[in-house]
Amino acid sequence: MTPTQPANAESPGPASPLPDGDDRDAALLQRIAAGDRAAFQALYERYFGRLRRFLARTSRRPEVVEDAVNDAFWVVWQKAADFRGGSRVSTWIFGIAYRCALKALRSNPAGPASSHGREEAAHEPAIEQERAEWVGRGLAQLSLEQRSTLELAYYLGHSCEEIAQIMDCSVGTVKARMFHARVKLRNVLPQLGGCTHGEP
Amino acid sequence: MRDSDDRFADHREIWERIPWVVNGTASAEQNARVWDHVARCGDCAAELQVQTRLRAAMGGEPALDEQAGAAFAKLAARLDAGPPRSAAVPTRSTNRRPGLLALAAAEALVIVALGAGLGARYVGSEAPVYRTLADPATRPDAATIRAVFDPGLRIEDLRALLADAHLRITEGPSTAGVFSLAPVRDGAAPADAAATDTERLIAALRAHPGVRFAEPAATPAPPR
Repeated sequence: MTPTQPANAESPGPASPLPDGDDRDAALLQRIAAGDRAAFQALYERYFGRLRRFLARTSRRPEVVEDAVNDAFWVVWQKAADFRGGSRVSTWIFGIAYRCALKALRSNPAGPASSHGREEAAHEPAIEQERAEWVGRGLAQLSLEQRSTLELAYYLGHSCEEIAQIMDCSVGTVKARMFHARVKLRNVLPQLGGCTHGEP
Repeated sequence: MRDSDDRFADHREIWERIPWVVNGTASAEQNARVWDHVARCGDCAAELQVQTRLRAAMGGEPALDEQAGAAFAKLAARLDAGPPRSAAVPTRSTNRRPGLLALAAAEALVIVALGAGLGARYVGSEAPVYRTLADPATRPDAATIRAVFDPGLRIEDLRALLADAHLRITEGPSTAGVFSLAPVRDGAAPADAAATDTERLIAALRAHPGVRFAEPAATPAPPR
């Protein structure tokens, strides 16, 4: 069956969890730069769930997630005044968080890998949990960079250029990671091709 | 042959653009090109469906996370315990007027002389025999622990917990729900026991189900 183009061709899928309130984030960041702790907490709470899920899914190491989130926000607190608006606030924050997670993983290389972000899935309703586990099985077969690329694109809704900024690499590298991730997932998740065997 | 190469390049370009059409970040022109192509190409149409399905499976709003408050409390305590954000920024120019240089040099000489005398007096002593007024161990109101309690903890249970641990609240709660705690000093208790006491008290607090978070307020100054 040929997919039909949605009326709104800009967004064929469900709404992205990314806030359309980048202006609000920027305003909070300005207040944080002035030392406003309440604004800092507000920004933290806006990002905590998304960062936690992103880092849990990509690192597959629950024990480093909370520290990586807090390390990232510690940097946000210290560097808020340096943000010049060259990107969306979310791109800036996710870039910091990605680097903090890489650093945490390098510092704790021997930790056990979670099977598929189970800690995160535990907070989701049963159907979503099942779906998260199904996807998690496929994502587990990918490299950290490939998983991060997919999460940033499909869960967080970032553009190819933004992902290059977050992961500090070229646009070509993002495209290559996306390409290899898709090829590998088609092999390990036949459900994606329409086969319903084993699909939740 | 040329047509075949062109078609391959076309497929490859469309294949590469599909994820960004699926996540809604492709430009209007890229969108139009992909949708025009998939209307004629079964393989690329199937790939578009695969990626749409994958995105739907990976998507979803994050659940409201009740752990955010406790996690933020830890971060807030870390900020409270650390140096102020402006500490790294020099607040005063190091350029002094020439007239003050001689005075500063004279001050330095006096300090060095006094230091030499005091140093001779305390040679061989492992621990300082004096404490500054800023030393947490000598300030009766100095918080040594930052803690966050479970909101469900009853006031009488909190009182009993603090009494058992010989702690008292000196400040708080902050906007993040952080309390500052200090030991109730027994006049006979040696002040040097403060560091080990703090570790023991923190371990006891962490073991209590009504305590979400307990950390040292600051690292005591090492013995000179």
